[in-house]
Amino acid sequence: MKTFIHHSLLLALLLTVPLAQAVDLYVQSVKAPILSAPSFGSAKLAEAAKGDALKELEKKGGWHKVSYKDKTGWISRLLISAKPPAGRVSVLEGTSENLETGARKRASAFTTAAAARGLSEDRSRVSDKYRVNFKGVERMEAVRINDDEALNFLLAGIGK
Amino acid sequence: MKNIRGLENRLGTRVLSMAAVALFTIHCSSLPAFAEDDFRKRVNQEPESFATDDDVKAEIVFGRTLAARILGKYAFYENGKLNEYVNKIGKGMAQFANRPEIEFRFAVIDTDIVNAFAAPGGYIFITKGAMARMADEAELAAVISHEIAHVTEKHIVKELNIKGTDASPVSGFAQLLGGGSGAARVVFSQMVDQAAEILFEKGLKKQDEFDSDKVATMTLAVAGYDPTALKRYLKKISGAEKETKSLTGTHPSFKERIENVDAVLAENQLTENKQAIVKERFNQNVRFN
Repeated sequence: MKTFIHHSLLLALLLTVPLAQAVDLYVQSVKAPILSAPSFGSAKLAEAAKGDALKELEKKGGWHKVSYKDKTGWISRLLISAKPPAGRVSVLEGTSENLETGARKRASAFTTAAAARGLSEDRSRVSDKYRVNFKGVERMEAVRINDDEALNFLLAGIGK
Repeated sequence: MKNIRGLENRLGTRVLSMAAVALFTIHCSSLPAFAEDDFRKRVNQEPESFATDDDVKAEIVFGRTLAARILGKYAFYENGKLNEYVNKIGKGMAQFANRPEIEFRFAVIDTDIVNAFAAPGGYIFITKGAMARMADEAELAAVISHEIAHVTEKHIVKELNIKGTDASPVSGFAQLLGGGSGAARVVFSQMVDQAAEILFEKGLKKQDEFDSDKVATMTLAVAGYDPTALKRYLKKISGAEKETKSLTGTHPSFKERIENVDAVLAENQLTENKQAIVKERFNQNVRFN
């Protein structure tokens, strides 16, 4: 009898573990459909937004069954994470140790040596195998289009 | 001074050990198929272990350096209107992905080969040749989403085991650019060269391409574009496969990729899903001089 009670308690404990582990998931994408089935073609029950918290009820392949507000449905793992969405990480600006400044300082030190060997600054900085063009990268980084502007443009085009 | 030397030595050792792992991984990729293809976590498996801020910084620094090699090989395509358009669609599509911590950047590069490249940290390139073969905005969004998926799924990051931290709270790569030792910088450059070799010569793993196609097709559906756009584009360029002179070997054939996309569409009941293709705006913005 004692053993039976012991086993029952153990079993009860094991059964409660999955409930205790129910995790919060957070929407990472700008919007995320909560669907009636684990398939993108299924009916949309609700639409969650970036940062919304979801309670996970079940997991199946790349899909999570979740409760969101008063709805229960499926969301793709491609749109969520177990942590709230992070802010932008930048190595270009706003950090106390500006790595770009570090890189430029180093580059100019290299430039002196490179000039003596008749090499271009870029060529001397890194690869023996490939040409490099950091000025091109800086140009790419200089494009200033904010997220809202881009999203509104995209959605206007597809008529949403 | 002693402390600085100590830091340099530690960084050197750490980067060398990362490089050793990377070299081992690259070496292994020449072994027969399948063994190397499935050892990583894949789409539809467990969520990723979280990257620290330093991991993300290392990824961006690495990707930025790789981007400089891509722009060293192919020039920027000088067309302000086209670049702005591609950036708007790219930055729009990136918001439907699961890595809001990454700022994605896009550029059209001046070559007639039909290809696109993604460097870690969000640097994405589409060739003029690829743009010229697209029929509408949905196809552009499809190609962009495929490249974004290489970044969100961290294909190169995992292949080369790029990390900003290990036991120490200071980041290896990030510190490196702030002034690591000469030896450590050489190893770093060699690792970026290996990534460039993957992009330009060897190709990513087959499964990485399938996964990116899958993610792209699903993302099109979420955003509201025609989810069959990637399939349409792949079918079109498969006819010109020889012309692209692109990746062979580990790179899957277009036939395999189209079959994979077909399976994704069928699984998600998206085969007959009619959504926006946005042809007119595409034609207004994508013109070649």
